[in-house]
Amino acid sequence: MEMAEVLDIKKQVQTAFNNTGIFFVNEEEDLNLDSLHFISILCELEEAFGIEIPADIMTSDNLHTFGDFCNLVLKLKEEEDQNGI
Amino acid sequence: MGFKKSLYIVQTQNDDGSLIIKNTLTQKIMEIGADRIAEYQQLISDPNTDNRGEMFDLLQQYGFIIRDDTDETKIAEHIFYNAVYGDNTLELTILPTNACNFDCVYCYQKGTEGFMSEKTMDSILKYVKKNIHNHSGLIVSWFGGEPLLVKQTVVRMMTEFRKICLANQKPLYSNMTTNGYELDQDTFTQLVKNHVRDFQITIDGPREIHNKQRPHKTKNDSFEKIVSNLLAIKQNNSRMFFRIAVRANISTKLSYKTEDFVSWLNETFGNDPHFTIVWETVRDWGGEKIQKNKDLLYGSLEPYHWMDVLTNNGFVLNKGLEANHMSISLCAASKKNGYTVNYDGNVYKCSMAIDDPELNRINHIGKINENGDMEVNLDKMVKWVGRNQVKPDCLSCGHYPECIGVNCPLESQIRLKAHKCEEVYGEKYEYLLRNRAATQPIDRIV
Repeated sequence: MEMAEVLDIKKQVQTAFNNTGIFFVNEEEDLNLDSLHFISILCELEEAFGIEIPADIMTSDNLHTFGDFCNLVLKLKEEEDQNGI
Repeated sequence: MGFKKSLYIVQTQNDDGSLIIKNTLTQKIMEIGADRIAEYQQLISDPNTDNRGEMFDLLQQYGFIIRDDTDETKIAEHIFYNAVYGDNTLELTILPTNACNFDCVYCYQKGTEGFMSEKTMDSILKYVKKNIHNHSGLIVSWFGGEPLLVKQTVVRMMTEFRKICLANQKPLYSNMTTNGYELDQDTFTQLVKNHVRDFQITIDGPREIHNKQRPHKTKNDSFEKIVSNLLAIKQNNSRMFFRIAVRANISTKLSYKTEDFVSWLNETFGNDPHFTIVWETVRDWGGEKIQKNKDLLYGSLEPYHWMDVLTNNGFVLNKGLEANHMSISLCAASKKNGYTVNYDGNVYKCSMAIDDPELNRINHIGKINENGDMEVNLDKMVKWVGRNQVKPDCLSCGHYPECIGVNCPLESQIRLKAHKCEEVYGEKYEYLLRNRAATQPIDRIV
């Protein structure tokens, strides 16, 4: 994926974060999201990127920071590209 | 500084002899292998021993052993009052209609059928638009009647709630209790897009039993339609995150077919993390119908032993949508920002008691008017919020931190009924605890 595309995705993720009331200073800080924010941001990321976030994310313990969410979106977008979706 | 044993430890045992312990204040669960139980009991009875190791560290980390100057009761009460008065989330339970296409044999609802008008819909949307800035987020629970009889109303309102929340930078989550008959793929897609991600749908047994307990008012086979809807959702949305709690209200009619039913649940929904099971018995939830169907009621806890079978099949068991609720299991009726809005704009605290004219002298707390203002009678409101005084013995009961959270305000504060500890925290609780230990990542000391 091109750097410009990566930056664009990060910008869109940040917009989705802000629209659901999640703000941060440092991209790697632990956001300690409650479930209300967690579900809300996943719904908005699905809508913003036209992706489906897998069900096992609900029970995973891997999404703590803004960077974690960006990596998830990048991974799902790359998978889509590879599958030609 | 010394240490002491936590007041709030509950436990159960697995078939293999291992011990599952849970701290109800920290909500941490651990499993102690059968060979290490003596060591655990020694540490917990004498936490100031010099003989400390890995187990001591974990017990301390998870709150089973605490500093001797810790006041756990005060911490539990702090958490409770923070949830009741400090949680600023707006929680709306909306009944867009009290009409239903089913004629369930145990249904407590009655009265004339009503549907939400455009005017009432607009009033509720105005209320949220005017007030959301005062709240940290919005949770909408759809209830009825059958909410999907008016799916356009639900979808339109969720679309608008989403717009309002995005404009105000607030999170939004929604759940729905539906009989599932109208939950086709298109409806499901529109709902999940607008943040409705948790559903509770009841299947009361195999086809012949379900169709007798939960018949459609005009069609023959409600079971077929519900199951085909669920299978379509399962097949078409396998990657998406959503949760469907399949609720089974077990009656005496199922007794000789329970094994078949559990096998069917396993074949149909097993190994799919989207599906959880709510295993209940048919109870007297009020109303007149159940009085004519008392033969459906179990007089024992016998049906609950199947919960272990479901656990062994990998199902997550829960107590209904409240267990899927975000942070704590506290009824919205007991919170200061929890309201039930009926199809006509009248505001209540408890969604289960709307049809009871006697209770409505207290339950009907106000109305949302055309301007989007909610007029609330504070005298009625405060009767539901918070909790009553507890008996001194309760403070040292292992279940206290959970008990103050899940206590039903209708029973404890309005009907002033004594809390049935054994019913809530007896054998059924142990089945649920074994399920949690089997289906959640926990520390195991073997």
